[in-house]
Amino acid sequence: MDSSRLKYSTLYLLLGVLLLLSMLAAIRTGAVGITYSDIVVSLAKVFGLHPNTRTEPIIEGVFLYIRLPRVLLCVVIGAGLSVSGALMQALFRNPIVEPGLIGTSSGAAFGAALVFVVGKSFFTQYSELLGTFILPLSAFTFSLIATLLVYRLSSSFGKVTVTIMILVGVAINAIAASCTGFLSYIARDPQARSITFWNLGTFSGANWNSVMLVYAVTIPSIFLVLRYSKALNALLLGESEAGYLGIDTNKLKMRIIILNTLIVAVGTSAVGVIGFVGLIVPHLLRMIKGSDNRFLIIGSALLGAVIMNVADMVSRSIIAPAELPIGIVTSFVGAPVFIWILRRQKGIHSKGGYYA
Amino acid sequence: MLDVKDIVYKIGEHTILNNVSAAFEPGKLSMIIGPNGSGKSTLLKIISNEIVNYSGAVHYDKKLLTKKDKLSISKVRAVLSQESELSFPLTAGEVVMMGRYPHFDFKPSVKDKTICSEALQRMNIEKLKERNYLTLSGGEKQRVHFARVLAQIWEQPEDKYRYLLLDEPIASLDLNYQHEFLRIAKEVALQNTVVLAVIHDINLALQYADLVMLLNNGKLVAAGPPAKVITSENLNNIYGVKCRVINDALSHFPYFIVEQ
Repeated sequence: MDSSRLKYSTLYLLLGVLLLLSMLAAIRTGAVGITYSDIVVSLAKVFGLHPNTRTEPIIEGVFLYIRLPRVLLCVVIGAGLSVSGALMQALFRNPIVEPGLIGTSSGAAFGAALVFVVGKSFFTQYSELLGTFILPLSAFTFSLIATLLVYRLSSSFGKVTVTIMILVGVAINAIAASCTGFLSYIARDPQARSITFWNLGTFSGANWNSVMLVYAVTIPSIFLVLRYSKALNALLLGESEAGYLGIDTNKLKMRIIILNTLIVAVGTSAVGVIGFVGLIVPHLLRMIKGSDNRFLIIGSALLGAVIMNVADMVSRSIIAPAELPIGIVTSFVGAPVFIWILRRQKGIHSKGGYYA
Repeated sequence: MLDVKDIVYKIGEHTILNNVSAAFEPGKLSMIIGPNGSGKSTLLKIISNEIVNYSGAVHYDKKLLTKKDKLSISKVRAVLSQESELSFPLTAGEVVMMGRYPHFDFKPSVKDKTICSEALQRMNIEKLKERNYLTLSGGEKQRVHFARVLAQIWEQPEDKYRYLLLDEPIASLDLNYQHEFLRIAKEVALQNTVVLAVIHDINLALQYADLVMLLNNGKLVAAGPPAKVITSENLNNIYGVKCRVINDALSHFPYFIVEQ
């Protein structure tokens, strides 16, 4: 099938169906078997209906308080990270950028760990409220600092080539990761102690609070960035050309960096660093049907959610009953794909990039 | 009408442009020529609002150009650079549609789409519309971009002129495309448009320009009809090579050759 002839709407529909199927599959995957009727009955109860069929309370509990929030969180974080990848790639005019490579994710992880560890260990009045709002706020702050540092430091070398940017990213990532490592070393809380939680990501802690918070930030942000898809397309021509087309490029870059950091920071503070999803999803879409950013943003949101669901299913079932951190799965699959993209884009370090 | 007045631009102690003034009229194809480093591209960047920290004034339609009019001016003014850095897979049609970006918010209207196909036709590249831009040859890419800037200023605004700025647009093109480009640029100029091109090839300036501006070391040496500006004396002084401008009875325009 020649995918380039498919209409955008048809593709969105296909991806939407795929998303629903992957969500159903993810809900049914796990130690406790959940049938379709369990799903329907439990949901009906939530919406205040009184269905005739009954469900085991334990199954209903697993569905409503463990599986459903987890799958919903997977969906929104997969969407957020992939949209972020698409945004970063448009902004840096290079298809091999993603939040994990340029400090955005590791900065967020450090910010979250800081509140988690210092807040819990040293403030006795650590409250839910503190956690709910300060945690993402701190993640956002440090994520923004890390991203801007990478951005500024790589600009200080003159032309921002991808090589320079990724090298600076490596350095900033290392600093953030060592700070996070130090925090988990001094932490008392067993979960904060687990360095894998921050650096490899996991959805095992998903609950309705985290679901609500991440949705409340990510979904409006994605709709907001859609407004800039036209301007991001123009930016692909180069900064001067975008300016000739009436776009204030400095304002655009700042807004995109802030919205992007917001999406990544809130997601990372909930589930830790999950790499490579943001890199691969927009790339796949580009191969299917071009680089129009409107399509890439909507498509990344849908396909990213599907892929995150699948990755989480793998991480839950591959060594069941134990669970693999999802970051291991995404990096194991993603890193080779990254190398493959690099090889396909020969000479990318000399082309693209931009002058600062 | 496009006016530049007393433009001075310095980088540190180094003066790039020194008190340059000029006026470019619609209906004429104007060209800026001069050796490397004479400041011709810089002048075009000042006119196109890309460099803003200069002293002096640029007037479009007697209205002073400021930092803020990016969007409003982009509806009547298009700029074509020598090379674009586009390195993502987009179709040629999508690239041309970018020229209509200043005219719509989210979705292109039927009119925008019509204008794009007309611009593609004008450049004779309708068959490239669905092709991936990255697979095109250098000449084809530049024609796609020319179609894009044509689409950007396709419509004649009421009581306003249109402006087309070309920064060495043909340097990397084959002979036939160079002439095709300049013929179209001249046609566009005749439709109430100010067309200003920075150009390297002096013979092309002699053949196509209605007005030539000769820059050297950031200063305006001469401006006027090509035959008055491009003289063997001026060329000898500025380029330091012995030249002869020939007025051949057989050709309709003068040309020049470099003598041993």
